[in-house]
Amino acid sequence: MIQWLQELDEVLRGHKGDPQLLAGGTGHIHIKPLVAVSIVLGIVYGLCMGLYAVLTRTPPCFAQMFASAVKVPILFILTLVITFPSLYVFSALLGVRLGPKDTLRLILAPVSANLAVLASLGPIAAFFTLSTSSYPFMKLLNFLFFAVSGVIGLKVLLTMLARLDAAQAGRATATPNSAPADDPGPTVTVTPVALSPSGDIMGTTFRLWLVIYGLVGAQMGWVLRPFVGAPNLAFEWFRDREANIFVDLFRTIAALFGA
Amino acid sequence: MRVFFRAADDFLHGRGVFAVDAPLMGRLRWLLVLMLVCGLSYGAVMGTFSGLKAGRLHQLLYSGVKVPLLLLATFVLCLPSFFVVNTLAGLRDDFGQVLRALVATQSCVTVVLAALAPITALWYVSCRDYGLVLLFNMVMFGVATLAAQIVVRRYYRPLIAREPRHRRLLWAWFVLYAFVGVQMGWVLRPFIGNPEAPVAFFRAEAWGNAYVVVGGLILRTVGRVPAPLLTFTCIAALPWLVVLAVIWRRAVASRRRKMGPNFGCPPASREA
Repeated sequence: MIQWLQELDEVLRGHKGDPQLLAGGTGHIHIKPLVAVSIVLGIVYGLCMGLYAVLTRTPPCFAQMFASAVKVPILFILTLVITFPSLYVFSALLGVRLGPKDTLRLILAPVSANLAVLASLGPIAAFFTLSTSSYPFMKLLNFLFFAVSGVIGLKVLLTMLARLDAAQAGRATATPNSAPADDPGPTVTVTPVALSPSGDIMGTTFRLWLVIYGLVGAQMGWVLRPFVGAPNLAFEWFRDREANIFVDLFRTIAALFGA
Repeated sequence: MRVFFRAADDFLHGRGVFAVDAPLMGRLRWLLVLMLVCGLSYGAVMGTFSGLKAGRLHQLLYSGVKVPLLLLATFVLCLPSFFVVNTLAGLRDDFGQVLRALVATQSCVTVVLAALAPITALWYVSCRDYGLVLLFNMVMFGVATLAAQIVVRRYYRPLIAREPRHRRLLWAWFVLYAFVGVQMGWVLRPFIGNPEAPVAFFRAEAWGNAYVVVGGLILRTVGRVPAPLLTFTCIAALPWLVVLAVIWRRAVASRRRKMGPNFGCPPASREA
């Protein structure tokens, strides 16, 4: 447990994106502890989310709380499972020099950062749940928290990519005698002609993948609903398929202000 | 008593144990004491609007407890996410100092509130309208929050000088704190106590969401305004918004020129 937290702490502090370490590949990012800690963080937020069903219903619906605690980690894992193959195949096809395990490590760090932010917003979500009975408000608040943490995770990924790019460019240009990573300044300005397309492609691939990841994640959240649980509907593990998350988002906003 | 006032004086001037670079442990105790004592005293004055009759005196105590409670509970709720975001921004090593600044801000709000308490009391004497009293207290809280900015800036100045990203994070903190604080204030009602309602620590119907209620109020008000007038107001407001945006941008640009190229944005070397 302590080791998991240490691993998470290193990700949050940005030590995993250290140019010096990235120059030697992504081997310093350990998959197992990060996955474990991400699951725990997801459970924490899921519990805060499911609190709504416990408080607004008589008798309290603990099944929904349990379901939410299970579903939040599953949401993130399934989204990753679904989008990872396309990321790897396309980046390999386009000539990015990262193996499947390297790619997985590279995206696992931002995902765990994403979940850490989400879990830290959990107490606020729980506080609003305690005092709010409006279902549209809670839905929008949770949506907002997911969006904010997602954007922060995205920034972490982009920073890591830029550093990886710089580190690899530095490694390619530097002679063995000069330590490139001690001084990241020059390595950024020196862009080797042979390598810059690879870096460009990597950036573009990951950015495109981010769009796919976001869309799949949103739709996955829709498929896995209910997370909060509409107070007038009985508990179900999954709801019938209808509409999509963006249609529902507009409906929710309309319901919050209109009705 | 004298020790307390001396501590408050030191705090306001930012010297002694409250100097920017003094160690934390010596002052944390004092900051909490200041927050509790000053918060309690303003809250008690706040409660006098309805609490000075026989059988209602405990309203003073309820209101008094609620002011520090409001600040502390909001602070505790917002702290975890602020901690994670600070770490993600690579500023974990400064977090001790950040914490000091934030705790000091809370204390400053209560000290200013305590200083404003006599004015509130005068307002109570001269006005018997519950709505106006409510509004006046909101203004007092607003003034105290604005005045606390002086203390925030004092403690944040060395941090921002070292790392301009602190400025953005401070804004993020205020947004988060205000968002949670508004709801916290709503939940902890009544602060003043309606003279016609029985005294209670929590109001039974207070449980609810401030944003939903206020949004509904605004919409109902807007709904009552005739549509042509509404359209006209929106159209007339647009040019003013543009003008304000231009003025704001100019102000930022001129400040940026004065403060140097790195004002408000992280230096490129740290990002790369």
